[in-house]
Amino acid sequence: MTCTSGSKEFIDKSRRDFLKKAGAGVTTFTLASGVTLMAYPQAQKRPLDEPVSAKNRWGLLIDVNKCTPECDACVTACASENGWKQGGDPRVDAQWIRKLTVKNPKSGYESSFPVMCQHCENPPCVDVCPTGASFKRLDGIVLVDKHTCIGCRYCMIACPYNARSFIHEPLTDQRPWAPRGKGTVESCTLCVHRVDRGDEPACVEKCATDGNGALMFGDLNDPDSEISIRVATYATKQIRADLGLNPGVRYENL
Amino acid sequence: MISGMTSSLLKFLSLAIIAVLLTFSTSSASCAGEDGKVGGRADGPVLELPTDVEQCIRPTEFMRVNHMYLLEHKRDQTMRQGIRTDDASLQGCVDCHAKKDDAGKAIPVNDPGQFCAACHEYVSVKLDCFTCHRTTPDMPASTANIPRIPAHKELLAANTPPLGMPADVQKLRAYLDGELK
Repeated sequence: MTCTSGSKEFIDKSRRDFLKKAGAGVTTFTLASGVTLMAYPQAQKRPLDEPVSAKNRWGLLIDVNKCTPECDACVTACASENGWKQGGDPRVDAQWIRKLTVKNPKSGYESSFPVMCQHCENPPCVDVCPTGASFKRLDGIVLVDKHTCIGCRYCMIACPYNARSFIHEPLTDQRPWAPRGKGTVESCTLCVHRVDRGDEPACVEKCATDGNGALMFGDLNDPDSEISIRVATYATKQIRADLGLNPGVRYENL
Repeated sequence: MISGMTSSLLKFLSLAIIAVLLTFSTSSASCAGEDGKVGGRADGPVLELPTDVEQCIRPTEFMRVNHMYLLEHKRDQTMRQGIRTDDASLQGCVDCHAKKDDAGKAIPVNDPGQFCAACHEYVSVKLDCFTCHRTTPDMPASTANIPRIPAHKELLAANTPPLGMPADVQKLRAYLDGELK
């Protein structure tokens, strides 16, 4: 393959847009007599009244080379989408997503990237939860059911990514799609309310428009999705892959 | 002997007066019931219903008894299965039932005397929804194109429950599992 990474992205994106427009049926184009171009659509969008299934496995791919230390578009987008606030008391502030900067002490090379709930296939937070509040949806999104959360914070201790926060103070004016309240644990929901209506998470959207386009969201179970193709083509890493949790969040060039 | 007879007569008379008084007071209480007081016993809360919609998602009599089961069913479906239909969502309740003050600002539904709080205070039921859930409607620009308040009449036509159904949880669950998607 001779095309550069940039042109490949261009091809993939236009292909995806084409398929979006193509709709549900198989589209056939006649290029010349006897030569046809057939496009098979990707998995159809789940209707709002159907339960999620294991057919999908939602994931994120973060290109660390594109992510810059001074940019925090993903963090502010997450905070405004889900209604958590930054800049209060760092000991009790919620942190659904944070930017990390790591440095190789030998070479001095620095890289910066966001870390959020890694949406593990085998989530330790679910293993330890005494009430079943911490759970994994069939499509791989790990959530806290605050109706049954008793605020024991076992999951916060079990999570190797320090991804969860506890709400210490009474709250008002929450976002309607992101209920949050005192005495419960919370973390990145992969913007489940947006995913359910067929959109990308807020961080991915803002990274593309205001940031450096370092985040990619998609279905890891669909071999034709942009993210699956990229994961299959380039070397990617999971943080603490040695733990065998198989996170749905992957990092490229880390 | 005479004084003994007088005292028993007095006792009989006082008992008779008490009986007459009791009968009178009972009948006046039942009159209050016919006048539309809740349960025919005492003054219940008077709710101000939204005027811009014709009908709730189910008949009022059904909602009065069963709204919590609808909400719980919907809660588990949305949380665990990602089913996000408009029917029976708590935000739907809030969007319709939150009143506005004179300045046009929405009043939280759990403020004293408001739609949710009024009855729950009256029957001494602790309302825990709003520790986490928003208490006023919220339609920012990013979601303005997503209709959240359903067409109530259509919903009602599609989901007419057996009227006068008792709050029998098992029966209701069967109904919800069968018809409420």
